[in-house]
Amino acid sequence: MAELPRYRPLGASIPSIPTVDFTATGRAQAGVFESVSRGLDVMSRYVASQAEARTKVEAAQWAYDRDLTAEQLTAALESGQSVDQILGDPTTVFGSVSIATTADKLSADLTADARMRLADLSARIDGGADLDINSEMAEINSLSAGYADLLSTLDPKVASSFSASVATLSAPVYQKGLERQIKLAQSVKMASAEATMAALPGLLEDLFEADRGSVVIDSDMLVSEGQAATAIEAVSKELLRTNDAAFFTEQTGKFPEMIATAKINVLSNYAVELPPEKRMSALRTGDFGEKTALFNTLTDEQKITLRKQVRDEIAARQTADDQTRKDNVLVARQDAVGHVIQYLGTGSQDDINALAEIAKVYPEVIDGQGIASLVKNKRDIDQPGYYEAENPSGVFALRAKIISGQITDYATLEAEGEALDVGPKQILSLAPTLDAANKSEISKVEAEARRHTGLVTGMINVSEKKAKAVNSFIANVDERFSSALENWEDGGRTGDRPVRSVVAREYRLELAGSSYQKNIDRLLGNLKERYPALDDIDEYTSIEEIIDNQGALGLGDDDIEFIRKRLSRIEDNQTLRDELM
Amino acid sequence: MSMYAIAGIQAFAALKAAQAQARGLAAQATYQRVQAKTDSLKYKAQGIKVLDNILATDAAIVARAGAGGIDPLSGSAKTLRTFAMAKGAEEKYLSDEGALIALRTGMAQADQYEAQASATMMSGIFNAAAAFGQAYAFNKSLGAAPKTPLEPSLQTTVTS
Repeated sequence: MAELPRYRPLGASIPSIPTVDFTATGRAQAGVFESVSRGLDVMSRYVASQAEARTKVEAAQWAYDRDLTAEQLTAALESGQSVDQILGDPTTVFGSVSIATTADKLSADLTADARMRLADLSARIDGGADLDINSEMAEINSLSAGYADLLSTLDPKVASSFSASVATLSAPVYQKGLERQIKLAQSVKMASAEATMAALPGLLEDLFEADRGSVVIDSDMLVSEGQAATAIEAVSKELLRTNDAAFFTEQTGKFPEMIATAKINVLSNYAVELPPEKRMSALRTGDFGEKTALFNTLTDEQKITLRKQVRDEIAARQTADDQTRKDNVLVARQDAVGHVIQYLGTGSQDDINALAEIAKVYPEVIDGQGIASLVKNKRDIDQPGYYEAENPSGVFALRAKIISGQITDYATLEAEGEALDVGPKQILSLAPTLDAANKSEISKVEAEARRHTGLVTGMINVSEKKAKAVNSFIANVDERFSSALENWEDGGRTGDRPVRSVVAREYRLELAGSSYQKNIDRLLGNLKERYPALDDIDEYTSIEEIIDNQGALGLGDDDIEFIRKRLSRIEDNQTLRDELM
Repeated sequence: MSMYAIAGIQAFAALKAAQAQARGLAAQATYQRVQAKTDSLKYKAQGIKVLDNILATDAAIVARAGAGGIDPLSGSAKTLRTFAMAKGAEEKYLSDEGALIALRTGMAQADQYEAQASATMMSGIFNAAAAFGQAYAFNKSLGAAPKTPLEPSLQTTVTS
């Protein structure tokens, strides 16, 4: 069967619509704006950070400028204002910074205040001020706690930090104060114990002083010893309270000696007060009467000490008595001098009576003979003319004449004195001056004579020839002086009065310049020239001296004979020079 | 430049970005509707082809039966025609439903795009408002000195 015709499709169909993404365009457009937005985000963060930083600075400056004190803040809070109202909202940047700044500033101020108070306390501790450290620290702690509470309303962390700082600062001060307080208490206890120890010897002596030999019931212990033991126990307890073991040991170690010393002192006083005969008996036999029992408690060694102490005490008392008398004698001497002076002035019989009383008690000060002598002297003094009027000008003139050689003897001195209206006592007072002046004048003449003969001053053992020459020189000077004095007096005493030493000097120079002297010098020169060994020869050398040294000088007999003749001629010239001139 | 000025620019940018995205989404929604119609038409065309195939199959069966001397309106030929008709109808219904589904899903997608556009626009508006809000909040967070002064009696510095 043939295939039938059928409809043939033309292939018409619905075309596929191409996929179009409209959202991509939107996203792209949005991306542009989002990019802009991201840029703005960066700007926004920058501007925000800037604004925040600026706000922080402004807040800090504002808080600083406001200069809020703890007292102001406290008062403001108590008046009902909140921290927000005072410093700003703490949830904002400004508020948080202003609060933090204020808290820091207040913390610094309050820390400084606490530090100052602690420094003041520390200084007072160091200075030894009277203070109660616990009370002082309680006050500071209370104050700092109040400050911390105040700071905690602003910033708890700052408050904690403040509390920690104050605690750190106050700890060493508190420790120092406590140490000082403890030391002070220790010192007080120590001082009290020392005072008690110092008083203990006296207490023990009082107890033993009251001892009458009574014993404790059912015991052979003396009541006084029991009381002493009780007293020592009380002192020991006080020593223990010092908490110083070394001190306790040292002080308690003194107790036995203290007891012994107290007993010895009491017994010693008892013995010293006894009459001497009983005292000796007590020391020998141990019979101290009511103190015998106390004496028997002493060891042999302590008894020896007691005996020695009694002896020493008696000696000391004697010394004290001697000293007292010595002092009284001194006072009596002073009184006696006063009465003597007063009597010489007034002649009162009362002074004589007082001196007589002194003489009775203290004869070593004044005796009856002294009083009689005093009365006699008073009578002499009262004689008319006992005193002479002073004439200082006349005395001066007399002394000047003595020194210048115008007065050389006592007769002249008296005559000159009477002429100048100088009293006899004052004239007599110039006698030593006259003696000294004469001695000086004689010394000068002697010196001229020695110079003439070549003698050294002070030489005593000289040759006979030189002695003769000196004596001759002085005799000639005396003769010349007497002659000159007669001439002066005959001449009406005009011009200066002749002076012996001047006469001597002129005489010596006259001799030295005479022709006889020149002959002597020439003869001596010839001898020295001929015999160089005779270099030391002078006009007073004797032929005997040369003969004694003939061998040593190497001289023969002819030489001796020659020298003898020469010396003889020299002697002749000497005679002519000294005697004939 | 102040935070408010920056916030203004940011708000403008956010609005413009949202607007652009919304506009794209709206266009995408329109396009999606067209796309749904097109897909629906493709399914309708497929249904027509199914009908053509039914007719061709029925015609072939009738023709073959007639040629073979077989009554095409009874017997196995009729059974074959009925079977072919049933199969074809089933495929036709599937095609029709596919067209409907394609149209509906396309429309729903378009509605989604439109909803996205609206949300994007709203987001832009909110972002713009948020920019101003942020600037305001930042300025508020900075804070300022309190306006309440201290009591006059406390204004003098007290020294301890």
